[in-house]
Amino acid sequence: MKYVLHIVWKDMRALWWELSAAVVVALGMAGLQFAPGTGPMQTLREVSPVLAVLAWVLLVVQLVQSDALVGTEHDWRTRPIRRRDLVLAKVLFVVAFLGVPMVVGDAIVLMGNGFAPLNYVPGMLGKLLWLTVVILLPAAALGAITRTVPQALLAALGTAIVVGVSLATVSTGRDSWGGADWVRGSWIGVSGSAVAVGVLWLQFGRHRIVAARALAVGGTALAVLTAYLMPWAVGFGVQKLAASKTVGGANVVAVVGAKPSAKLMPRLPVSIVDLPDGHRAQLIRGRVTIDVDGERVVRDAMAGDEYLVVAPTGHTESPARINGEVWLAILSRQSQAEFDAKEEYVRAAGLGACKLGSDGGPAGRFWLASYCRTPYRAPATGYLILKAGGGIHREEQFNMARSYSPWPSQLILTPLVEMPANIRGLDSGTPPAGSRVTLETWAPVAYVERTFTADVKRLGDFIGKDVGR
Amino acid sequence: MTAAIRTENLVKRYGRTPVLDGLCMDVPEGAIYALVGPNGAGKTTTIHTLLNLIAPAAGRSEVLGVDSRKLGAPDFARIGYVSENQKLPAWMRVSEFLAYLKPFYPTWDDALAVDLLRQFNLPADRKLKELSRGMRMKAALASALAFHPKVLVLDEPFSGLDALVRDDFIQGMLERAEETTIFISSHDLAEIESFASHIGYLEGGKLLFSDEMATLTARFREVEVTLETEAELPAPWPANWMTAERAGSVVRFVETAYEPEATEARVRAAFGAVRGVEVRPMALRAIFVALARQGRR
Repeated sequence: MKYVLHIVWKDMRALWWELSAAVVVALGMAGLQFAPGTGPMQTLREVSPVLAVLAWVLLVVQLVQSDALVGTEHDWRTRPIRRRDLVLAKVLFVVAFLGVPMVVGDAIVLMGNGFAPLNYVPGMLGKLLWLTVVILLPAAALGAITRTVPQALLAALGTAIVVGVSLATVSTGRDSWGGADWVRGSWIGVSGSAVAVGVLWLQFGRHRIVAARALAVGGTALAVLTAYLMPWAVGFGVQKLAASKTVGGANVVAVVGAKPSAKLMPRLPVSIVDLPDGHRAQLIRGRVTIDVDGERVVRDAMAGDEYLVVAPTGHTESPARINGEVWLAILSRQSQAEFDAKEEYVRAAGLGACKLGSDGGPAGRFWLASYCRTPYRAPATGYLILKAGGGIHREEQFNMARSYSPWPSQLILTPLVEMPANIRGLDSGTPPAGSRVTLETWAPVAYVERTFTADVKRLGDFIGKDVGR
Repeated sequence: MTAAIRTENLVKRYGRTPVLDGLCMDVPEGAIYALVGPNGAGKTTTIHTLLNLIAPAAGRSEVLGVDSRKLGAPDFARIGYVSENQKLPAWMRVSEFLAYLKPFYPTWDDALAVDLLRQFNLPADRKLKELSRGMRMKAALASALAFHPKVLVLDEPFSGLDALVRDDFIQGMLERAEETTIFISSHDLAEIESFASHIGYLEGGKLLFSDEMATLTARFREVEVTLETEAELPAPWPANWMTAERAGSVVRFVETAYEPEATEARVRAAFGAVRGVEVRPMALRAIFVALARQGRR
């Protein structure tokens, strides 16, 4: 440990400027969370995560390069310095000067918003893990295969081009996996981390620069390619592993008579019936086979909330038989909290701190907005429900990156995830007296695959008017 | 005598170009071994391979009995290394540099470090990046001597140094490394001649010879033979004779296995009657110029 601390002290002195910048940015980013939501401070708040990432990447790259692994000329390589001590020193440095300031910054933001930091330790650790996977390990790997910061930036650019070209090649024509897209993202994260660890091992452990560089570029491209070449059956199979229980029912019916609202893309309205009480279902994605005019067309269909988006098929005047296969997430309500619509600040389990607001809205029509901030991870989905006299019942889903991932599926540098939702279009200019607002969170508990068949008299009935032939 | 440094059939290629071509070399313990040769001969590659800075394509090398590929921290605590291309932590002051290194060496000698700073006139509070090239080399040497290394490896340490600095450097090295095996690669034959005990000549990745300095200088002679008349060079030309030149009735060559009586007998056998034979000792530089010319032919 003596040698480890000795090396850390050396690195602190060598990189004091970069180190100070990284700490200031981490704490500054936390402080800016309390800044006014308008003007220059707002701009600064928006760019602070970018600055933070830049500062951390630069610091980590230089930290590795301060005892450079590329080339034969660096003094330390013929000194009795153990590689193990060197690696431990770099890890300790990162923990002390990136991890700790970030945790402190997060704790400040959480406390300032009325959350007890100790209740969110797993969230903090998860964020640090994400940061390690997405930023620190790749930056360290870059530093390990280059001599200087400009070289590292060039290498990053080169790798980005390779990855971009690979991605453009394989992702064309491959649709989104919706809430299950985290499978691809997590695969890239896991395999990318393995590549970075492999690069670091090759350099620190074996000093194999050519192999390390080949692994960095080839491994990264391969990680992205395999993510996008992964068959959906595998993706959904992984998604199903995250299920916590078995749910029956959930049959799918194509609502052939419904009028689709789509103008640009044909939408096939579907309805999911026979769900157990207290459950909702959400489409993840679908595939349809359309038999029309003696032809059979197979389409992968992206999923909206209550419809499948089907690519244009032509034959709009012809009758057709549609066989569909859909993959669903079955959600169960996790929390429910009801408030008077006139309350301004409320706390709702799972949604954190929420601000309710209502005003005349556009054209004098009443609308109700809700803006919730919750530490580290948003629920899979949530609803804002308004009940008012006269049988008014309106609900709106929170606007969030819907993901059925069992773990936080994206890196959010600030500790609070923001979720807006709003209900608009009521005729009354003010909230009707006695109106109640309910905030709900829902979490996926099962994933199922269902099929359906629909005979349509005219294919164009569910295709919007503006779809070309 | 045991070898402090040894290579066996060491091979290294850069692309298809062989840089070391089956190098076999023994450096006896306690020797000051100078590895000389023209540019591109493979001197630096040899040193990099010895110190595990690069991996050989084939063969093996060892330093202090340890396979170079397995040299670890405890081994480097006994090996000092100074190179013209060495990248020191430029932001450190000289004193900080030595203080940083000290804990890593169990045999670090504070008093010696202070002595070396004084002897080399090194400003302790000056940053390494602010030092001249010569001063930086001296700082590197001080850092390589302060722990009493068993082996000191120097890669072209004199290049670019002015005469005064060079003298300081050599004097410091010889005074402070009496018990140390010194392995030095250099172009500077005049300097090498003044202190090396052994010498190896490397060309095209091969060690053409390796000998004690005294033996080497004793067996090389420049021979000038004055013939009675103009004559053709004898054929076959004796294998021990190099770089023959003829001007009228005078023939000059380098004898590589000089022994007074045997050389004279070989001359008479090759040329028959001669008017005179003049034998002159050769400076190291002249020996290597001759070797280099021979190599090019």
